[in-house]
Amino acid sequence: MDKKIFFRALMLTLILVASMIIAIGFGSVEIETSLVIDEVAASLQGRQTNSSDAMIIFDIRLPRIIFATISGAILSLTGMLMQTVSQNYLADPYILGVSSGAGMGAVFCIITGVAQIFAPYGVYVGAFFGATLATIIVVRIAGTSNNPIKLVLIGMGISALFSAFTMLEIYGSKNEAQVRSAMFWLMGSFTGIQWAMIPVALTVLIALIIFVWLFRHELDLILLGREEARHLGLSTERMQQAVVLISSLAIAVTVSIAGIIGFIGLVIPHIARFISESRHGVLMWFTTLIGAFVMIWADVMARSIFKPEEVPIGILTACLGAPIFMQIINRQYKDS
Amino acid sequence: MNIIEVKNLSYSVGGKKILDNVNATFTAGKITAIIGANGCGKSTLMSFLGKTRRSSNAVYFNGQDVEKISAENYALRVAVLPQRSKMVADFRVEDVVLMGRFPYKKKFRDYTAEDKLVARKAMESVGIETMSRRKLSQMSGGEIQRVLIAKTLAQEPELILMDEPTNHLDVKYKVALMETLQAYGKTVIIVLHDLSLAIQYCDEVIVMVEGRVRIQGNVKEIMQPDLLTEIFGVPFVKFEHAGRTYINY
Repeated sequence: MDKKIFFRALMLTLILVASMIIAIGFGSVEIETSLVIDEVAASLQGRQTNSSDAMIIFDIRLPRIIFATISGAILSLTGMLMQTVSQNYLADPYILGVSSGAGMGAVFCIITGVAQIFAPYGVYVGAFFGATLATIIVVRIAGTSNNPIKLVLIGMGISALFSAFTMLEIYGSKNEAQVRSAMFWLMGSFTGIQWAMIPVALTVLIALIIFVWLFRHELDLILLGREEARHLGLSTERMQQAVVLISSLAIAVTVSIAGIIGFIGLVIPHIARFISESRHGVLMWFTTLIGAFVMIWADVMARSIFKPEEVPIGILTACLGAPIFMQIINRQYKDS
Repeated sequence: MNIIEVKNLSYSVGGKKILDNVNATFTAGKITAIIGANGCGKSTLMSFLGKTRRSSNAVYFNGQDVEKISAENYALRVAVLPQRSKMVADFRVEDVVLMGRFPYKKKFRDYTAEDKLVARKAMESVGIETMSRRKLSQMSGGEIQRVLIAKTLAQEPELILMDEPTNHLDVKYKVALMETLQAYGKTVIIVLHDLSLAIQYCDEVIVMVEGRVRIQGNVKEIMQPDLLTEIFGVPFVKFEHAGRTYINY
């Protein structure tokens, strides 16, 4: 990593940490940043203030912001991986239908009661199977096609299909509480995030980072083209299978906890490439940091726009991401 | 001694024979040109030599069926420069050339200082060392082609397969490439449309017609105007100038 890139990464890290602290203050109850810092400092020194602000900060806001940071990084890294293995910069878990697959699996487990049987991991398992199923279908149908639009259209088809199944599951349910719980997955939300959810998400993020770091050179090779990568001795099929597995796991965990959040995985790797470079050993850190940063502020907007009401984060990221997605297509295909 | 041998190789697509009982031998240490009209099967033959297409008991590398050689091992011995690059990323020049060292890299480890030295030498051999920090998006088609050639050389293989590598190059770099390949001293199999380059820089030639090998042998003996006229359908002239042989139409 050259000095200029390293400096940018360092700046991003500092901005991210500052954002996490500042973001704590936003929401239906506003808390001044200085008070947030005081409370955090007191907590680090082992002093408990037992104020209502402290309760909001440590029991509600902090787990939520930490999860937003982790899920932003996970979704962005997964988007980067999918763009690499499909050699298609329009790919992302939401557009390819993987998130919808995970949503369908999660809702199926809630509606049928399977989630209770395998509690507390029933929803995760359902989401994982749904995500894996969607990814395998997309990969199988798209085959080795290098047409980016074909892959996107197949993804849209898969997404529509799984969304329809999800609706059918909800429509067929008689239990109002289950229906309300299931609807949550369709819109994406960080409401109700608890500390207990952080270890699972953090483990997945660490696994994802380790995976990308270990295979950074292999991922670079895939971007030369599948044929060239094979000529250099890389088994692109095995690499693709590994990416499908870890991406499905990562998406399953974020969808299980926060529902379907679109476009982060699409947009962030583009921004990261723009301010860093294409080598995965560098790109992965920028993707992680920017993804986390964007998700923190998207969540702040979700909490602040119509406060005291909250806008589901999935709706907000779709509103912000969809125009960028169209802009990418427009720019990429302006000559054809 | 033959480094690679093709025995009774046939290949059809939708009932159309692309390769029809091809038999060919490639001598170690020589540069062999494959020439022929468009659609005669040159690139398809190259794809079998490079293991892009699977064969069965038809292609032998140092006497061993290539299908029995793993992709990792084959990459240590054979480098392939395809006709068209499908690269989607905007890498820097030095990153792409260094990727030629991937077959030598230990799993989960970085490229070594030796790998970086070999990559630098490969860049120097095609005259792109001063562009090493440039991104591919800032380069012309000919410059990118030279980057990919440097990547192939960085692989340090026993055999180099090149499918029309001179396509995007101007005359200066066409000549430079052929001289680099001669200096490399290993076996090269190269598909060429520039027949003067073939006669000046190659040792042997394989002439293909409609999926079959029409003739194979010494380049200066085989590349005669009558044969080329028969194959390409236009009259050719062969002449000597300043001790060099030229073919023109």
